[in-house]
Amino acid sequence: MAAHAAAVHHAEMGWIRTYIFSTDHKMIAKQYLLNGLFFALFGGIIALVFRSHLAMPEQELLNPARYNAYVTMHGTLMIFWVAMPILLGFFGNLTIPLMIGARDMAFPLLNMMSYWTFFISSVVIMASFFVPGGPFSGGWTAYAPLSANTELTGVNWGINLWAVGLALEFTAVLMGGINFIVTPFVLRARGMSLMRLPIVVWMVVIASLLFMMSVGPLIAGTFMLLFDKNVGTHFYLVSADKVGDPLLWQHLFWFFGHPEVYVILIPGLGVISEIFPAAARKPLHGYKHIIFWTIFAGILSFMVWAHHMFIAGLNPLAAVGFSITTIIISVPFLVIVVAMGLTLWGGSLRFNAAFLYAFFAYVIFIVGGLTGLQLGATVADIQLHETYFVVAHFHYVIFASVILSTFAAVQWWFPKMFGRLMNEGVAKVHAISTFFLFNIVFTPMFILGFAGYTRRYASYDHIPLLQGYAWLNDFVSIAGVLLILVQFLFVFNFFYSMIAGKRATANPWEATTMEWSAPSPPPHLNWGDTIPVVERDPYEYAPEVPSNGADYEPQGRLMTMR
Amino acid sequence: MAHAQAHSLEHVEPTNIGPPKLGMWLFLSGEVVLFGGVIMTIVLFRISFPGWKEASEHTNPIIGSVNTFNLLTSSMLVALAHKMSATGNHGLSKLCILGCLAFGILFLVLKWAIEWPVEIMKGYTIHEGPFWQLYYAATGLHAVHVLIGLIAFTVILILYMGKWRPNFTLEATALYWHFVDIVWLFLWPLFYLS
Ligand code: HEM
Ligand SMILES: [Cu+2]
Repeated sequence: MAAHAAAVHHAEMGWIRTYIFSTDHKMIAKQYLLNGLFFALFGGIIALVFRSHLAMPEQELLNPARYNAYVTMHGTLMIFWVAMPILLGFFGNLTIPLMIGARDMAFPLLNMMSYWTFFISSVVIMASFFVPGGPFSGGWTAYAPLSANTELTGVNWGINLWAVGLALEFTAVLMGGINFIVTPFVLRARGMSLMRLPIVVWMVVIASLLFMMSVGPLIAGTFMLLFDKNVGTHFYLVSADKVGDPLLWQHLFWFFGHPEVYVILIPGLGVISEIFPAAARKPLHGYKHIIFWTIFAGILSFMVWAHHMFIAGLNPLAAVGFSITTIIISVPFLVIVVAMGLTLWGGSLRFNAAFLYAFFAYVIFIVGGLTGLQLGATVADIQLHETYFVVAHFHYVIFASVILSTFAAVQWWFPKMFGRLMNEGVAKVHAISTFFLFNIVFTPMFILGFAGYTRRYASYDHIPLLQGYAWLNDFVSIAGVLLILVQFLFVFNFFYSMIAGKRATANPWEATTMEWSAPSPPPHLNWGDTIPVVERDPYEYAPEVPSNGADYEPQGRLMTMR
Repeated sequence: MAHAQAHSLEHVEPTNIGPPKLGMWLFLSGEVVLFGGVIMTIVLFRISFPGWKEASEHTNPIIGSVNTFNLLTSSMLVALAHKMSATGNHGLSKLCILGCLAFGILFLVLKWAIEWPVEIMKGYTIHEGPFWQLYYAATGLHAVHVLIGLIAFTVILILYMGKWRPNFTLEATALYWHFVDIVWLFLWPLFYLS
């Protein structure tokens, strides 16, 4: 490979090439991570504001239109500017080359362009906060006609920037995705067969494929939306003499949307599957099954989208069909969850902070998956659609797969980013308090949803029927504010450890996969004068005949170059 | 399960399809889905709204068909160009690229300089209902793809005039060009022959 040869003699690069316009996958990973974490904090603070408003609507912290704008931007940012950059941009860039024994991505330049396109998209979406009319307020799903007609929301530029920012963000992820898919296929080290790839690599590949195969129609749809809004076409809008189809947007959005929720789920599951075997000191249970069932779920995820539209005027017969596929799609996740559980079963667990994060993610994900199953049944969804029950459902899945597994991943791979360890004590306090507060915030939402709390209302004071539950909703608000505040523990730990954390050895967790054979942090092009060679499967903990006296066998070793 | 093949040092060689080619195929598969969405939208509007057939009678099937011919010919020329350059016949290869460019430009001229203006002058603007808005959106998106291809070929040709020899670049752009051609083969019947 060309990249390998280049490794031997690489010149020192300037500051700008190292930190700003870097083509090094590890630097790009860090850029994606920081950008994502910034928006996580920002999106969290937005939630803090609108929940504060909800707790005391009479204070008029926000007017109702602003309230909706904040809710919209919270969702938009969390999905597209937090989950996507971190789960694909960060996980993919950090893990793929190191784990497969490559020196960098297949297309380093494209990789750099991917991040900077993402950066521009971040600027665009941030700009929407400052234009007249404020940011978009029609919900993160941007249903037409609300999104296609300025008069309905009073937001004009906010919508345009929302759509353009999204298109740019998609472009960035597509560019990154090409790398994430091609690299594991063409740059694997000797001995690294496909069935020896660590799970998280598989997961990023599958997620990138899902994204690529689903986003096209929505890009076209977004342009049609811009046309309707700015040129006066009628793709979605209906007027006295012109017919459009408002449901078309929902179809285009959710045809992308459901695969998308798996895009931001499975890399998270991948991280959990990396940490569990190392914590339990046991091989990952059912490696092949996890891969196979994930692919199966990925394919099926293209056939469930209308479960978001059960009461949108869908043909009842079609609703039955989509109910069935939705219920079938829970099976793969059941298999995966059981495989993960069996990995822990009977192991002598090492309770480090990364494992705590991963384990809490696992528990929370199970609740989210089960409640998705309930929503998938049309009869139940007629009652629960657009209520806090749905809000609780998707926060259970997304908080697990995005937020908690990001914490786990950062804690786990911090040595490979900064050569130091994050503080275990702070991390444990953070993990446990986050876990408890999260449940305190979102479990009541299931109840509120059943009681009839419709989502996206700026105040429930005028609905007599709901007054009996007002205390619970206030309770949620208070706990929610606490949950967000606790996150500053992580922010502190992250920056403190970056500067003053304990120096890490190459393999502080005694883990098996290839990245732990590189120094912490790995140099530019990762392997210096050595060549990684892979000799066995990825998770050989507790081997029958340990070759080195330890309770694990590294997946491969580094050979010196002749 | 992990212990089975433990201590054998297998020699697994990386897949031998080159990275750029795999990348190009991935990019094209993304494009397939993009146009797939557009074509599904056309079909949806075609079945659910009356008046499609009447509207479609006002497109110009002659220009549509001539343009089909243009794209097919230029696609063929580009395949030839690739073949010629692979066998070292660079003069002929450049000529083929030039031909491909000519037919591509003819396509755009017919579409943007003649067909659209005439239709707009007749009053069939983008505001005239489902058929026309999709017509402009879909063929416009396609034409932008044609334009991008033409720019790529122009750059290739200019570089080719010097010492530079296109290997993969030409092949990748040709792949893209065939794809653009195939998309047109779907749009053509949907807008001109229905
Ligand atoms: C076990 C598989 C899952 C099933 C069966 C399922 C099912 C559903 C259903 C039926 C709805 C529609 C509820 C309604 O609007 O009335 C829904 C909403 C939602 N789900 Fe899931 N889900 C699953 C997993 C996930 C995952 C893994 C994620 C994200 C990581 C996710 C994110 C969402 C989101 C964001 C919404 C709300 C969309 C909106 O804003 O309207 N779901 N889910
Ligand atoms: Cu869904």
